[in-house]
Amino acid sequence: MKNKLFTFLEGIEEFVASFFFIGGSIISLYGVFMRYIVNSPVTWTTEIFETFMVFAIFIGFGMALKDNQHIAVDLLYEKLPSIAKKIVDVIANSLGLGFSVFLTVMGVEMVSVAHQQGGITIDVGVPLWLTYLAMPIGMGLLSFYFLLKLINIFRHWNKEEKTQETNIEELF
Amino acid sequence: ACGGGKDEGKKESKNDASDDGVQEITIKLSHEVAENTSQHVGSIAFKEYIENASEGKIEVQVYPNGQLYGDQDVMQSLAANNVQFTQQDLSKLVGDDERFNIPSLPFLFASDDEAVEFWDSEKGMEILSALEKDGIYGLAMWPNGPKHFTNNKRPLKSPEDFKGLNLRTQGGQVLEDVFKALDAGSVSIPFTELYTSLQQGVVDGQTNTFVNTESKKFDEVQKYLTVIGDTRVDVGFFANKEFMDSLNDETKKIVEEGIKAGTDAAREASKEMNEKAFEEIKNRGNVEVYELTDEEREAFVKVWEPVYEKYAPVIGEEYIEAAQNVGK
Amino acid sequence: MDATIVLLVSFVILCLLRVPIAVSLGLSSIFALSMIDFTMYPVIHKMYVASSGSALMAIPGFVFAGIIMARGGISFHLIEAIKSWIGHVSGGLAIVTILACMLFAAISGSSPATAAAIGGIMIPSMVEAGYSKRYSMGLVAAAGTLGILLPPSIPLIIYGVVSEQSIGDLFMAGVIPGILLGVILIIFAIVNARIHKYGRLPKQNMKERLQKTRKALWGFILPVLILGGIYSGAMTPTEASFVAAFYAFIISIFVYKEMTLAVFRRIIKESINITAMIFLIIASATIFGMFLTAEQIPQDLAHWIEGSATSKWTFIIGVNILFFILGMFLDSVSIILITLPILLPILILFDINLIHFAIIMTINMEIAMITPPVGLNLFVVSGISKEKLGEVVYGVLPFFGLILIGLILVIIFPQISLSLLK
Ligand code: NA
Ligand code: NA
Repeated sequence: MKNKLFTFLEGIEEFVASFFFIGGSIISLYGVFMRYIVNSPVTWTTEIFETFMVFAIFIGFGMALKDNQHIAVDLLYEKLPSIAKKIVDVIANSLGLGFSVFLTVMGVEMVSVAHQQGGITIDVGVPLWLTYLAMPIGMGLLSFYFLLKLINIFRHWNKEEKTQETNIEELF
Repeated sequence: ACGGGKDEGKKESKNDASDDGVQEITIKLSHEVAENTSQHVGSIAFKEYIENASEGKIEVQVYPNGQLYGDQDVMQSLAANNVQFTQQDLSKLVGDDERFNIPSLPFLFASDDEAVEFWDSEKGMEILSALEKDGIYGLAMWPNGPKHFTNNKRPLKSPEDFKGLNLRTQGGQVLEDVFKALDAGSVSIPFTELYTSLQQGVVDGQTNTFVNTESKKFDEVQKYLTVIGDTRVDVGFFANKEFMDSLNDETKKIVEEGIKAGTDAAREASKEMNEKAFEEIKNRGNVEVYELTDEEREAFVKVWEPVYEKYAPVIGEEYIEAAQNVGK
Repeated sequence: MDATIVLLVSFVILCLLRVPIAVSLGLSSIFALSMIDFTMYPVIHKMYVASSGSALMAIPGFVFAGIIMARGGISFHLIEAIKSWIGHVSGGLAIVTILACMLFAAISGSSPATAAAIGGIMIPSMVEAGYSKRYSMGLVAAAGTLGILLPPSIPLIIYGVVSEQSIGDLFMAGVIPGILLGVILIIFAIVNARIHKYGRLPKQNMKERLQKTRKALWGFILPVLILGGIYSGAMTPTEASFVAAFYAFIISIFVYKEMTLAVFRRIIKESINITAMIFLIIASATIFGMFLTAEQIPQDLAHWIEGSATSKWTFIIGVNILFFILGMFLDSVSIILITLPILLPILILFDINLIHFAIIMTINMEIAMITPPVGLNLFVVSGISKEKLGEVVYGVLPFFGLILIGLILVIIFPQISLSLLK
């Protein structure tokens, strides 16, 4: 059964990512419209379009993990007995967690250095640290889902069937 | 190829900075342009001087073409000492300091020499030192040269000819205003899409140094070239501060002389290469070349006065004045 | 050298442990880079920059457009119409897929964008018509690589700049080899379909055909819109991808009336997921490449070939092997930027035509798109068809051989690339 809190959080995440993805798309169309139809090009569109897409994509890292979209190699895994599969799952998700936590920390550093240096983007003048926020946010969400997967494996340790593919929301 | 050189260098310098002898270190220099550019010529002169003078104790690895870092991440990597030297287009640093807008002010310098003289002066060095707070030394300006317009619509002889043209800009608010003063629109297009965008007419034209227009083959897909030299491309040569400070006197002397050798070579090469590229463009005959007369130039000077009014206070009157006084 | 071994060994181990490829690439690179004392924070900064680059932004647009078409009715009607005309011809749909890839390649400079745009529509329809899924996925991944051989082409632009060759000439030189590869794929598709009895649907009468074609008319306008939009100079390929998505969206609402809020929500989510999967791999592959570059591995290999080549032919064989190995891991633009300056002097020494060599290099870069572990077309196809990477790799194997045949032909007969030039 889906937990209300999880549904709510998931909804926010999806809403924010969609907002940036759709917003970016519209800005790109607006750029074509202003240059080609109105013949009065606007310079800011490229930079903002790219920033929006980057936020959508970085938030998507975690969403893609939740939906098992990240590509992995099954070659060895499929031949393993069930218990070994679980152990491999634990190792793999721990490594994933380590990777994404490390990148979150580095992302925070990226943001804080950019904040100290006070740089801004060239065309629009958006503070760089603001655009860099995509990194810690995206990697933070990725860490969150790796952690949930890990917890999930332990919760389902004694069940035979599904391991990796268990739905994360069952946790809540 | 072995890494770790710079760290060994660091440690060594802590322990025996007082010791005589050249430190055994590896220097990484990363830049984002091709090997047929004045920047690369300068980089190689820098490498060769240092490697010879240190009798091979110092190894300089040059990474051209942005193969190690690109314009968006090289300054971070320089600040973190992952590379020790780089060159960066000054106009890409305007986000860090508005004073780097200087090369984008039209007709501020009449020649490469004037630009060089300004950046070598006290005021110029003051601007180049703006990144010291981030752990980066500004060493010298390396000129890429003045920019000239190409387009597909018509010969551009007066400001009125620019009306309604959509020109590619490499970014920055000053350049946008420079185009706006001509009633031309600025469109930002990434380099990988620029050649086809010019070919298919997504944008009508672009502005670049002779070398860039020639080597990136933009003349193949453009009809007219106006020799105007209004704004410039100038790059800064930068070094990591922590690395420079870790050198003992003897090593530092070699590196500093290397910097000078590189700078001299780059400045020389820039002039030569632009001249050669201009000849090559004329030989290829893809574009109709038009050189503005002095009177025609005056009309542009007038049109761009508001750009100065707007940006002089932002950049700092004293810098603009110093720049204008160069060569007078 | 030790760090390089750590890089490769840890990468293989991580992959075998079923760590996502993006994470395997990233983690092994981080291990290796820290062994050579790189400060990590700017390395991570580079990952950010690499995955926010403007050259990649057509990928989300074409993924988006492809999914809207697939879910909003356009693909369905397009496929119905195409099937009505050639569904009874053995191999017909495979041929349409190849032609669609070639047509799309002619407007986009990027191979993954080609695979994304065509794969979303044609893989499901081929499967429906009885083709094996493996084969369908392999076909799209392979035919999609034509995106960089038929002009415009980002790798050819980069090649032109580095080697000081005319980009216009390079584009011309890519046309016949691109068509040749297309024809090779088509011949294979016909033979293969005959053998496996693929794609033999009942023949339909003219009335059904016209009816279905009329129904699909709005879908047929889409390629015209994209092609026309780019060639008339109205928009860049990146912009065209979003215009295509917008057009497909409008048609799905007002013509096919298949766009509900729930469907739209699913489309957005899927588009973001697939794009994110691809971009995380690109981000990690970038620092993987950065390690190799910093350690001068590609440079050393290129120098080694430069030094050991004794004749034109040993050089050509060596260089193709070099491209193959580098192509497994690096993206095509990096390979060109790193190796071409080293190879140029020897090309001139052996009197190899630089434009001819550009086409040889580009076909190698096509192969790089479909060789694991880092092959963007493999990932795109695996993402859009929701199949395991291994399945796509199996599917692509025969096509790998076909492209190799095309490559050998192009190497032996320089006229194939050069005859269109004056
Ligand atoms: Na193409
Ligand atoms: Na590959």
